[in-house]
Amino acid sequence: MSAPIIWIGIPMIFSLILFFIRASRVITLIIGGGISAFLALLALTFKIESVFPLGPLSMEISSTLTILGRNFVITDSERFIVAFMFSMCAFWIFGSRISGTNSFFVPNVLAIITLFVAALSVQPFLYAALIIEIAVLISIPIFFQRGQPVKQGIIRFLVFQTLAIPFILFSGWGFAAAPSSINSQATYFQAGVLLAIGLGLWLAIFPFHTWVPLLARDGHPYSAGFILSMLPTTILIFFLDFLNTFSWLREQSILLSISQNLGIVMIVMGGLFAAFQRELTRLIGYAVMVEIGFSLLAMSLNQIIGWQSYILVMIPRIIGIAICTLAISIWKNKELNMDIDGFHGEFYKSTFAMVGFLVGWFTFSGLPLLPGFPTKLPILIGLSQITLTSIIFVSIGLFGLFVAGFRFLAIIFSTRNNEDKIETESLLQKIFFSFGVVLLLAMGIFPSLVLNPFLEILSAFANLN
Amino acid sequence: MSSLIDILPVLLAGLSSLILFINKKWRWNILAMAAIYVSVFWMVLQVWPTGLAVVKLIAGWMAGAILGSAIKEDSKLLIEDKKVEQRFKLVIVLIIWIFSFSIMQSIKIRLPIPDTLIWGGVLLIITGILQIGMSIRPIRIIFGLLTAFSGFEVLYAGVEQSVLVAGFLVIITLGISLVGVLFIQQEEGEIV
Repeated sequence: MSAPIIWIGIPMIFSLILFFIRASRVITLIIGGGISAFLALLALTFKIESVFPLGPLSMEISSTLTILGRNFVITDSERFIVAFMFSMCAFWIFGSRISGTNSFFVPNVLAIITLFVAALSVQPFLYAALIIEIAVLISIPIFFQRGQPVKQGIIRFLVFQTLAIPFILFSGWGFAAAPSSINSQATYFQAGVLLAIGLGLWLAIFPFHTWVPLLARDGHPYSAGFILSMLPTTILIFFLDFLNTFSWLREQSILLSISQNLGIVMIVMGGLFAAFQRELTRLIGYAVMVEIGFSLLAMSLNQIIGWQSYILVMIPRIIGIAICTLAISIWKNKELNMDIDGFHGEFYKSTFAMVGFLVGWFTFSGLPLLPGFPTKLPILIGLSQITLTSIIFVSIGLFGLFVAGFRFLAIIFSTRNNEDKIETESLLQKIFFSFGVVLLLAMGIFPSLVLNPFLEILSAFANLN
Repeated sequence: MSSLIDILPVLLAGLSSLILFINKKWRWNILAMAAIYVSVFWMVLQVWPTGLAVVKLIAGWMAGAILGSAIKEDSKLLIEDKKVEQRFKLVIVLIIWIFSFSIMQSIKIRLPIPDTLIWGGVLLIITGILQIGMSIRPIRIIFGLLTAFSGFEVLYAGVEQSVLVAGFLVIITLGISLVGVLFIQQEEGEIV
């Protein structure tokens, strides 16, 4: 038995089975969420490449699976990444119970996460680009909403992600060919440029950012939230692998400087657009832009504190996006107008969803006591040691997110003509939002207790420690 | 100097991608797609063994068949061509092709693969991207994506001969066409 069979083969088979029984929504949800949670627990408890006594028998999980001459390798140090991916998968699958996603959601999400794990374990790791593209193709059906035509955001997402593949693959070829090239310096540079364009398309880095707010608006909010949180997370971990392997890349001051500037541009643009945005669905897209900007900034620090923040910002981001998009899905299912002016007095109608949304939103903004604060603060401190001007721009971006949040806050408490009736939320809804809010508050108040265990993910990247 | 037999698939790629771009008739589109993959197979044959190269042809034809089987005779997706639009697109394609031939030399320096592969690959990529950029209808964008991706496959075949990569590229080609079918069904309100 090998680790790739357990964490790639088995969930892939389950996702196929779930696909065929997807009409039974509750059963698929329980099996899909259950298997994800089980695999996450298994990854946390079982050690790879060591012998386990099973009564009179013993079992060893090997790390490698060879397919058509290429290896899929999940080492013991990568167990935490696998555990993280499958725990997030379980989180998203269970959350879908009240979100009104279509029947493709559970099987496809399980398949997508499995493919992400496969992408992070394939060697040579540049083949990951192809596996991620397959995951992107599988993700398309989860965006569909009943009775609605295919919208621009979904198409643009598909086009941008597909166009990224040639750039990533040719950059991989360039990096491999450069040492034996006559003009290796130029080949490295060209490969670097291709990699930058490919990552720009993948991560929606300026000027390729346009699909993010469009997807947030046009796809099902919860499905879009899943992709907007898990796809960048996987790609950022993939890029970490890249930086870990090619040490010289981290020493290129031009790369760090470009990444820093692009990070600032993303934060400023996302924040300012959010401040002036009236449509709630698109707001999430801009928050995602700001979050990707912070990841780029963390990378540009090229210090241990930067790498730790690079990992830590991902966790509250995923939970925050999940809780915000879940709230938006519920409001959209109630056919509420998604313009923020349509939310007058909505706090009194869906209190739990509203509190969940606000806690998620202010997590993106970096409000103290919420996890956005302890995870973003080290990045800002690290940045302030390099340049103060950047801090001003980053603050403008964060201020934009605060403005959007407070504008929304002002509207939800105001009622018009006392015409709004008090409505009750379902028990399940209350439980889901309470769990999300408590989780975020726990991360924000006790970051060293709740968030720091996730730093084990960094153990897979020995050169970055 | 490339022989005529090597240049023929480039001409076929150019002609078929042009038909796919300017003609909106459904059957012509599927035939043009099939012809594109014949040209891809022909070009890839210069650097890959026949057994591996034929995978691209089969995958491409399967993608065409998948898309072709999804459209109905009475579909609202069947639309008439406009002569003015076709003329405009023809001129645009010719301009872009001239531009692409002007950058061939610089690509040739960086990519150590046969000239005909570079010509065919770049031609398909550029026409495909043009189609993606100038279309609104999802299915036309899918045709554009398939065209551009087939161009990339031609270029990448020159530098990589891995069976696993060939397998992944086949899955992606079929995946894009299946997404196209989903788009068609969603447009016609058939997806639950």
